[in-house]
Amino acid sequence: MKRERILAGLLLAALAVLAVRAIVGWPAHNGDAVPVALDVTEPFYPVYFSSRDTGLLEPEFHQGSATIEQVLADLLAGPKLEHLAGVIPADTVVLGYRLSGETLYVSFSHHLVTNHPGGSTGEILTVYAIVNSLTGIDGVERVQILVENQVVDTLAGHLNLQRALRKDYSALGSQVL
Amino acid sequence: MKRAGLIAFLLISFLLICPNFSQAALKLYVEDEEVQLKHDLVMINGNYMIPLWVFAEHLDAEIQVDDTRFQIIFADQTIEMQLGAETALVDGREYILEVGPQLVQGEIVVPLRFMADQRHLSLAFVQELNGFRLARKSPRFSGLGSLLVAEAPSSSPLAQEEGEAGPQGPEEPEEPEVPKEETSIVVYEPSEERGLREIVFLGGPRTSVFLDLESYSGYQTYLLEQPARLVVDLYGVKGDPPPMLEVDSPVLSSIRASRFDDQTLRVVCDLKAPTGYQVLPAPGGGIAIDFNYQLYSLALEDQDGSLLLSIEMSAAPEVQATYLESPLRLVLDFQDTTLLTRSFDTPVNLGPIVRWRVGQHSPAVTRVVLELAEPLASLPVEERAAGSFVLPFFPGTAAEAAAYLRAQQHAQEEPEELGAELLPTGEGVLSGLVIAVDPGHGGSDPGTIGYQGTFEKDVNLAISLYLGELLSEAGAKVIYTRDTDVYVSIFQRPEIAMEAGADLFVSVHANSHIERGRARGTETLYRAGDPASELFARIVQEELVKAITLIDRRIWGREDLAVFNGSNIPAVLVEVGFLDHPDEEVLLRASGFQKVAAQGIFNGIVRFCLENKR
Repeated sequence: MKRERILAGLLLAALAVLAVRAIVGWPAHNGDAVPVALDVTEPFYPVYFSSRDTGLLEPEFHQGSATIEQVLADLLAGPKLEHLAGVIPADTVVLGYRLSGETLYVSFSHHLVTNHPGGSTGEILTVYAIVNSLTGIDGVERVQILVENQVVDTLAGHLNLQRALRKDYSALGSQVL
Repeated sequence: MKRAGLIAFLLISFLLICPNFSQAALKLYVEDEEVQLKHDLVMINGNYMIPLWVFAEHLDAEIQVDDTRFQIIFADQTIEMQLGAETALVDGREYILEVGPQLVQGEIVVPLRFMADQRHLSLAFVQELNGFRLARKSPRFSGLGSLLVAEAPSSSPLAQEEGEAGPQGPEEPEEPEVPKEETSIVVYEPSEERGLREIVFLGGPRTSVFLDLESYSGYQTYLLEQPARLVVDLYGVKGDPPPMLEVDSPVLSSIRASRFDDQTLRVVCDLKAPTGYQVLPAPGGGIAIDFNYQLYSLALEDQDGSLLLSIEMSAAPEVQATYLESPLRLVLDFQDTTLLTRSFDTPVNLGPIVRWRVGQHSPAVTRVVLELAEPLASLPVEERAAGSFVLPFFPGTAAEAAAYLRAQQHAQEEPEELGAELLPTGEGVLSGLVIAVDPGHGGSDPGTIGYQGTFEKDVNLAISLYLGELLSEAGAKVIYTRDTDVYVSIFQRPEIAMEAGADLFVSVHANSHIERGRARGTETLYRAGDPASELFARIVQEELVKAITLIDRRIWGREDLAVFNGSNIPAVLVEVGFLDHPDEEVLLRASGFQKVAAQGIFNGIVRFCLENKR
C-alpha cells in the first residue's frame, strides 16, 4: 500500500514537471545556438562563417539591406551566433574595394595571408565565406580577392586566386567533422 | 577653491597610500627565526631585495666588499656581484639578474629570488607572519606548485620538528605545541630537475642553436630590435636556467637564459643584426633554432664579357631563379637568407641588365630582381673563396641555359642527365605508367604548422618520397614536382606533370581548419567535372582511410585548386590528416605513420589502375 502511494506520488511529480515544461519550454542544451532576432518581413542578408557543428560554412542572417561596406564589416567583426566561428585571420583589415561590372575587387591587408592557419579546408572556408557573403549583394557576381592591392597566386597554397571567384555552394552544408 | 581642491587631492592620495603601510612593514624569516630588519624590504622592478648582511648573520656566509664589488662566500659557493650591474658570477659562471644589487638607505640589497634560487632555498610568503620565509626545507604547505595556497597540515615534517623542539619536550611528540595554521604562498621552490639541460651552440654554415630540453609544453618566439635579439619563451619548463653562453658566430654574440615566471624559461639569443630564423622541434626532444644565412654584399661584374653576380655570404646560397616576361625580369630568390646591407633599386647599364633591385622579400627570402632588355638566365653558384661566391649568367633563356649545362655535362661524360627527378622504371603492376607525385608546399612556404611546430611541407615530402619508392618498385616512372625542401609555384606543378607526360597526378598535403584543432580526418579533393578524377579520388580515399584508420571525411570536387590547372589527367589532392589537431600531428610526424599513409595512397593508385584497365 505504502509502495503504491510512493509510486503514485512520483508519477504525479513527473506529470507536473512535464506540464510545466510544456508551457515554459525545455532548456537549451549546451551548444545550442543563441538565436538572433530576425524579422523576416523586413530585408535581411546572409554573412557566412565557419560552423562549429558541421565544420563547413553556414549563413548568419543580418537585418537590413546588404551593402559592400556592411558585409565586409560583418565578416571582419565575426559571428554573433555561438556555434559559428570567424573566418578572417586576426588583424586583417580591408584596404579598399572596387566594383567593376559584376566583379568586385576587394583588397585585404597582408594579415589575410600571414596570419592564416593554412590547410585546404581552412583556405576554402576563408575564401568562400568572403565570396559567398559578397555575392549575396545585388550586382556582385564574382569576387577577386587582392592582398595589399595586388593579385596573388593563392592564400594558403591551394586555391587559385589569380582570378575572380563565383559563389560556391559546396562549401556549405553536410556534416564532415 | 584651489586650496580646497588641493586638500581634497592630498586626502585622497593619503587614503590611497594608507593601505600600503601594512605592506611596507613586511617581515623576513630565515627558517623560523625573524630577521631584525633595519629598514623595510624594498621592491625594485617587481623584485624584492634582501640586505646583504642577512647572509652573514643568518645563512653562514662571509661577505667581502671591495668598493662597488662584493663577494658572498658560502662554504660551498661564492657569489660575486657589483652594485648596479645586472650580472652575477656564481663560482665563476655568469648569470643574468633581473635587477642588479643596489645601495638603499645605506645598505647593499640583492635580489631575494635570485639568491634563493642559487642557495636552493624555498621562498614562501606567509600571510599570518606578514612576511617572507626562507627555508632550507619545503615550506609549510601541502602539495607543490606555483603560487599555491594551502593550509599547513599539523603532521607536516617541519611542524613535527618544531613540536619536538618546543617547550613541551620530546615526551609528547604526537601532540606538538598547537602549530599555528598558516597560509603560505610559495614564491619559489628549489628544484633538482633542470628542464633546460643545456644550450648547445652548433654553429655550422647556417648558425644553429640547440636547446636540450627535458620536456616543454610549448614555445613562443619574438624577434626584437635595438638591441637585436631573438627571445624564445619556453613554456612548461621548470628548474634553474643554465649559465650564459658567449659565442663567436656571424649571427650571434651570446645566448642567455633566465626564469621569466614559474612555468616559463626565457632564452635570449643576442644577435649581431636582426635576422630571419626557423624553429624546429627535434624528434627526440628539444628545440633547434636555425638562423638565416647572412648576405653581406652583392655586386654585378663584367669579367671578360661574362656577366656575373658576386656574392659575399656566410655560406653557399641556395638560389631560386624565376624568369618573368612583360617586362623581362630575372628574379633571384636567396632562400633562408637575411640581407645585411640596405635595400636598393638602381639603374645599370651592364649587358642586357638595365636596372636591378635588392631587398628582403620575406623574413626567409632575400630577392634580387634584374630588369632586362634581352633574356638572361642564371647558372649554378660557384665558390670563389671562403665566404665569397659567384653566380654566373647565361645570355639566353632558362631553357637555353639548361641545354648549355647538359651539353657541358655530356662533355664531361657524365651519363646522368635530366633525370634527378626520374626514378628508374622497372617491371611491375604499374609498368609503363608515368605518375606525378606532388608534395605540397616547400621551401619558403611551410604550409600549415602543427602545435608542436611540425611543418606541413616536411610531412608532405616524407609521405611523397615513400609513395614514390613504392610506385617505382611497382614499375611506374615517378615524376616529383619537388623532391627536396624547395619552393615550387602551385602553377608550375601541373606543368611539370604535363611536360613529363604524366598519366596520373597525386598531390600530398596535410590539412588545417580555420579554427585550429577543430577538425580531424582524411579527405581527398579532385578535379571537379572529371568522372575519372572523381573515381580516382574515391578509390584513393577508401584505400587511404583503410590503411591509416582516421575519420573518413569525404571526397570533394573542386575546380579552383591551382594544382589541377590546365590538367586533363586524373588528378587528386590528398589531405592525409589535420596537422592542426594535436593527436593527428603526432601521427603525421611519425615516419611509421607516413609509410602507412604512403602505402594507402599507393594501394589506391594500383586499384584504380587495375579496375580501369589502366
